[in-house]
Amino acid sequence: MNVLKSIFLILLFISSQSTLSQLRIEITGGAEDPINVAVVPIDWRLEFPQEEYLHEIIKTDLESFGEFKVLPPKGMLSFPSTEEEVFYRDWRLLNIDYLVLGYANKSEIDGDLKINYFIFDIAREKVIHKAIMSGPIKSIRRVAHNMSDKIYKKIQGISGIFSTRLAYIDKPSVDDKNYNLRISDIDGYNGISLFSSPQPIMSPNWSPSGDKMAYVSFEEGTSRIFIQEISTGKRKGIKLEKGINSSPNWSPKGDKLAAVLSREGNPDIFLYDLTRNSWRQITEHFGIDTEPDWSPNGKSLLFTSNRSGSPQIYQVNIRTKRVKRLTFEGTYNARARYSPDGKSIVFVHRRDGVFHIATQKIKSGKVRILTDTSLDESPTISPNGNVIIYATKKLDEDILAGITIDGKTKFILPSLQGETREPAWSPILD
Amino acid sequence: MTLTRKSFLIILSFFIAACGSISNERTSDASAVSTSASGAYSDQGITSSNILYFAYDKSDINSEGRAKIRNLAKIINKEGLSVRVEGHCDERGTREYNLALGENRAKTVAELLVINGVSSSKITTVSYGEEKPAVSGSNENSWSQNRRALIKTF
Amino acid sequence: MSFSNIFSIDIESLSLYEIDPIPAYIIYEQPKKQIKNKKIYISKEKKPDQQKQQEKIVISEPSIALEEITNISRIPEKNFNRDIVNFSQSEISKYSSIIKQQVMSQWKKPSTITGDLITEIRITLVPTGEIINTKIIKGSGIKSFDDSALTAIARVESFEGLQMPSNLFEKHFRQFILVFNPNK
Repeated sequence: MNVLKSIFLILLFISSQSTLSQLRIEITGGAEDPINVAVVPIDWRLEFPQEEYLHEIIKTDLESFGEFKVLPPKGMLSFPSTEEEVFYRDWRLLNIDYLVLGYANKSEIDGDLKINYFIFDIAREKVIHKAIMSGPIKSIRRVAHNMSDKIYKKIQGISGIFSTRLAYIDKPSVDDKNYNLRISDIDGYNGISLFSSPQPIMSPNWSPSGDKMAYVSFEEGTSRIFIQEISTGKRKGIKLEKGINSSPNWSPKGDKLAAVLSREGNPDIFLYDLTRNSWRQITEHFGIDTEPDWSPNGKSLLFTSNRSGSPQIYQVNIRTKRVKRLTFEGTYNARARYSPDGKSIVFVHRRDGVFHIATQKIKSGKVRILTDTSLDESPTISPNGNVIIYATKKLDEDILAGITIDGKTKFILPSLQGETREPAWSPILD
Repeated sequence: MTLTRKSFLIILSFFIAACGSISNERTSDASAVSTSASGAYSDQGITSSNILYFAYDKSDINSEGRAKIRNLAKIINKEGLSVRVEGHCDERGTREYNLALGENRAKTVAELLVINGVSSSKITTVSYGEEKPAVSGSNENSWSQNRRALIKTF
Repeated sequence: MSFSNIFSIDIESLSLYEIDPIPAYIIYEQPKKQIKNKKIYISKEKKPDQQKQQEKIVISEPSIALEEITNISRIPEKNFNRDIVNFSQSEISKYSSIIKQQVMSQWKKPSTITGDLITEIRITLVPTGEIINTKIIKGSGIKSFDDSALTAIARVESFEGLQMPSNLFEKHFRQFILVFNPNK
């Protein structure tokens, strides 16, 4: 028995040795360089010429946030349109990491554009994605953005945001004496005014399904929350209360709005039930409670409060109404938004008199300033959590700017109409 | 269908499913419609006697302001006017928070009017936060002109 | 019984070949007399039942295992064949760094937002440095993260600057594990 036991133990010991003796090398980081992608001009097999080039739209999309470098056609040695035509060595020489190619047809059935496309991992010499993308021929931009999303997701592992939209508010200008609530594709195309008014419009907020917009309008002489259906333009004001009615923020399920009412004498956070059309008070404090943001799990709200003497960010559990303070650095922290994973917040933070956009992991309490611009406000986070767009000033004019969450890529949105503020990123739209 | 043929087809279908089946992706269209409001309300009849100014982040009123309110209160009561007090802020800070600050300013003025004998039922208060500045410009000169409360009578 | 729990000992603190008292699985290119010597060492230094005793102890408790292994490492040098090269930590570190640097320069990791992801991949080389086999032994659960690691290795293709004594190569670098852990 002893001998048997010893043999068993020896064998166990031997097998353990193979893991023990094997060297482990830690790879703690990667190259900072952008990922090199080549998008071959799609082989267009339709009778009429293309109005816009898919590969150009995809190139612009992928290069938006500094993550990719897309090879233009003039740099290519060949123009394959099928798997068989790909010579991996050629693309390796060009230092390409991923290759996209395909061909376009018109569908026999519905007359739509039909694109067979492939994504190749050049180093591993294999196809990592193949699909048929279809869509109306007149919506070629949309088709291209969808392809960009697929390419992005395959390589980066998180959703692309190239098919999302941005809502924002333009203030009156020489050309237009109205305030305008506008939406456009995230690349600035297809801008349309959803609502126009000679009185101020504030706080646009997308419903979780992307089909409605809540906002504040002063058209009746005081602040009132309205909900508008995007596809039809139908709008209605929600139950008006005395004082401030503002800061609407949609619940993740789309059944309630968090908002601010000062009907009790000072601004507090309330919930509006969209089916019952009734208000329910959530915070109760003699100071200012405002700017609610719903957590992704629907259980709590972030809000700004000056109950400690100056604006700070707090979190309230909707069920228990227990309030917890989140920010402790600096004397002005406001307008917080949850990251999509619910673990961090992005907010306005004042340091040395300058207003920046900052982020903080909820648990750690450590503030990380993201922007080096000043008079920053209204941060909105992309649905994949990777990019922030916010309002700021440039030469005394209101503009929108953006930054990736790692702080590495910064950009300014081209001035779309006039002076623009209050950006709101749409959810992923399907 | 014989057993072998059936199993062949089943195997074939697995094979097709397994070897990187081509997925189908579809674009959808999203349209939007515009609307507008005429805006029943407008600004009129404002003179310097109706404006009070505030220090940064404050809603308290100085003696000059108090004097203005006293005078206005007399006129309001004499002529039986209604009052609308508007609170405004400069652009610094977040918009919704400024809406709340503007309300503090409007309410402070309203309270003083009441103290000076104006019936509270005649007074409405509104805050515009930083949404309707009097002047543009990102400097103290402009900001100080925007931190104000307007007393409108009608 | 999970050996990774019991032997959570940092490899780097041990003198390596001494923890292989049973030579059966070791493949050397060097003359076999080394192996023979090892056998001799074992039979000279320890009585059979003491050896068995020792192995039993090693497995039963982690603390004892650690102690026993440390004891092995303290055995006086004169008992070992001088032909056996004492692989110093610095040599292993030197080549590990070369490998690490080359993999890192080719790793374009995806911007995954969530979580602390770790992927472990076993690499098999030939003495020229060429990678002949890669296998994920522990995935992160996120395919694109795992794929990016495999792609990085594929881009390296063949490591440069790994000329080293062949017994060092056989011992540690013919097969080793790359731990992709960007959260450290």
